[in-house]
Amino acid sequence: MNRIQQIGRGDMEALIQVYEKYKVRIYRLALSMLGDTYLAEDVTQETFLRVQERAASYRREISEGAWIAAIARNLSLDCLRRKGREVTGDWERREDEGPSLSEALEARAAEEGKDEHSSLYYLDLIACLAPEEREIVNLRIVTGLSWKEIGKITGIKAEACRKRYVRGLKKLQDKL
Amino acid sequence: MEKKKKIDFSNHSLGSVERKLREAAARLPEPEFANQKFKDQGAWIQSTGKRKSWETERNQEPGGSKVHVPLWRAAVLALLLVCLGSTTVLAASPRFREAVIRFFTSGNLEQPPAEQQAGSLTMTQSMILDAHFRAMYVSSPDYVEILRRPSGELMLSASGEDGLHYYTVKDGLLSELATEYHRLTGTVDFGILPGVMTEEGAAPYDALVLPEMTFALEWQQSQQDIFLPASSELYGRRFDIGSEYGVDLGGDFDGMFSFSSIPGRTDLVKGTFDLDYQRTFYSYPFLVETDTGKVRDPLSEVDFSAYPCVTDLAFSEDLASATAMAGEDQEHLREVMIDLQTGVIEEVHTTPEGQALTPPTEDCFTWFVTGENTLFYAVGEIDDRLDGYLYDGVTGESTLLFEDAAWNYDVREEGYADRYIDLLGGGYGLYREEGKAYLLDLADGSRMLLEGVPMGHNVSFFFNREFTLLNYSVLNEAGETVRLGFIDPQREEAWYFDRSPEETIHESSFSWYDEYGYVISAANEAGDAWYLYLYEYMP
Repeated sequence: MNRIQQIGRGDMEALIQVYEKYKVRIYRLALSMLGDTYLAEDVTQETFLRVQERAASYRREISEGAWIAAIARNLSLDCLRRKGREVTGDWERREDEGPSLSEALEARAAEEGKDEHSSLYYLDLIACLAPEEREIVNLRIVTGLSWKEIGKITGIKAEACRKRYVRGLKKLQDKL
Repeated sequence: MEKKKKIDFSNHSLGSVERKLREAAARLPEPEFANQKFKDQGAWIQSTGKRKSWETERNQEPGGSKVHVPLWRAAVLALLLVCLGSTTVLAASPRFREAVIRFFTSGNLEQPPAEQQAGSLTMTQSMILDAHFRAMYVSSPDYVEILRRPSGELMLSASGEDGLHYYTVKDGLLSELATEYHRLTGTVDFGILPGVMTEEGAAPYDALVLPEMTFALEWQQSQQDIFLPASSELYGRRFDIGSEYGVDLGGDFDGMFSFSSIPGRTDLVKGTFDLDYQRTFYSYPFLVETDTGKVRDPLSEVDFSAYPCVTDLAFSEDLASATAMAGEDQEHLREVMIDLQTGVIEEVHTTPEGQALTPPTEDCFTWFVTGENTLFYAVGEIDDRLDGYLYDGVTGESTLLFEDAAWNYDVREEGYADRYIDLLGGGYGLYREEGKAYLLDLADGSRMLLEGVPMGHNVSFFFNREFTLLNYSVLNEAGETVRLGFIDPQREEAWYFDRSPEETIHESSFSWYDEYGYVISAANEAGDAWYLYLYEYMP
């Protein structure tokens, strides 16, 4: 029995292990998608709440890490929708108030400065990417998922994910 | 062959972009609560889904002392614990044979010689430690290594300020071998190479076109043998990209030449060009004529179109054939035999119907053939848990051998899981659960209880090349060997002895120098006295 299944049976020790292993990675994924540290903390905590709630329904079609990342990703997308920001995957943007995520990241970069040693330099780098490229880059770089797993999470073929990723890297190549 | 796109190396720097991204991502902040651990007080989160406030406690060190292992030693241990295949056994399968390996010792304590300032290379006579062990001790003012000629003759090489010196060992006496220094430079043009993925990430792998490259080769030659410099000699130069040993191909391509001698031959040397592309490594072999520096392609007659991905090439001594791992891509590699004269590639392992013997699922973490029609495969994720199966290629049935065993865990993180599996190679694995350790034979799923072996992260296991003897070593807090044992899986017995190592001498590495010979290399703190402790096991 793997740890997620153990969590589904009420094993707190397994939950603690999973939490300790993934908390930083999930937080950084949420931060990369939301550009906001407070929202990222909320999403991270909510993610592990959902892990516990849904552990019993976990099927081993993807790895434990990918499953948790998928929860965090979906929560981040929900958060973006609620905030009226552009959404990866749906490529829609609500007409009401709220800057796009790109604008939010650019604003942050302008505030914090574009110091490559800054802890938020990564956010500055990805700000220039299209939402569909940024999402794949985040899943690959921040959470280290395989192409197959990224494909399962996003619903896009692994090959297409890789191509978007390379496109994103090429854009960053000019920036760097 | 279809003409492939030539890569412009000057623009090929996506690997460095990716590297910078990863570095930047690693600097992203951690959450405010990263240093907090939540208490287990029953229900952290109520099943209703309401979120409780985080309870915090001071970050505490885990209780209990741990055996300190110097970092390099831990790295060696980690290397030893990661081998070719994984073997596991399901606890309660009546199908699998169970046995007990008992451990014996004469009780003698070995006391290796004390530190001495050796003015020259010296070697003791073979000394009997007990009925099962003999020892020889070598001391030298210079770095010293042990070699074996194809004839089985023992040799030593010592690396001094004036270069390398080679010695034969006969009747306990050392005789320096007369050798001549040689050096040549040559060029190699691989042209179009299979097995490398381009930046577009297309699959199957596109071919890579490498430019013509120059290399340097230097060696010592006696009448019978060619001796290539010890790796320590070339270390600095080998990794100096842009030197004649390393090749800077621009962007994220790095390559390095390395050479090895062919036993019994002085006219040819084997070369390998190792290519590092986006943290994936490819090796390309070639041969060098020592008289002329001319390069030969040992694979010139081979048609790789059906196997675009090829790794782990190993040539027969007469260079007439080779084995390799080959397949459609890196995730579908299987063992093949290559006839270098005719260019024919044959699958080594096939079912009775002539089909390639491969696991029943594509989604494997690892797999390898264990018997005529059987193979082991594991599913799971690296650094996580594995489920292992024994697959019968005749019946098509898979039998679960183990479930949810932690693989390749950090030796310093004991208590991480309930079950552990370590890959030892040769179709063997080390399986642990409930405080007991078992040597698992993947060929038939049998398991042998290792009764009497202390389990902990100060114990290492290391098979010889023939996979007939398994060394196990127990280290003290300083990382020195205090117990040396040899497990014979066929005889199902093991013998060991305890050591009292000299405190001022520190071990640097250990290895097998032949099927029954084990060597520990060591040096004093000043680095001006080197030692070899040679142990021969007599079953």
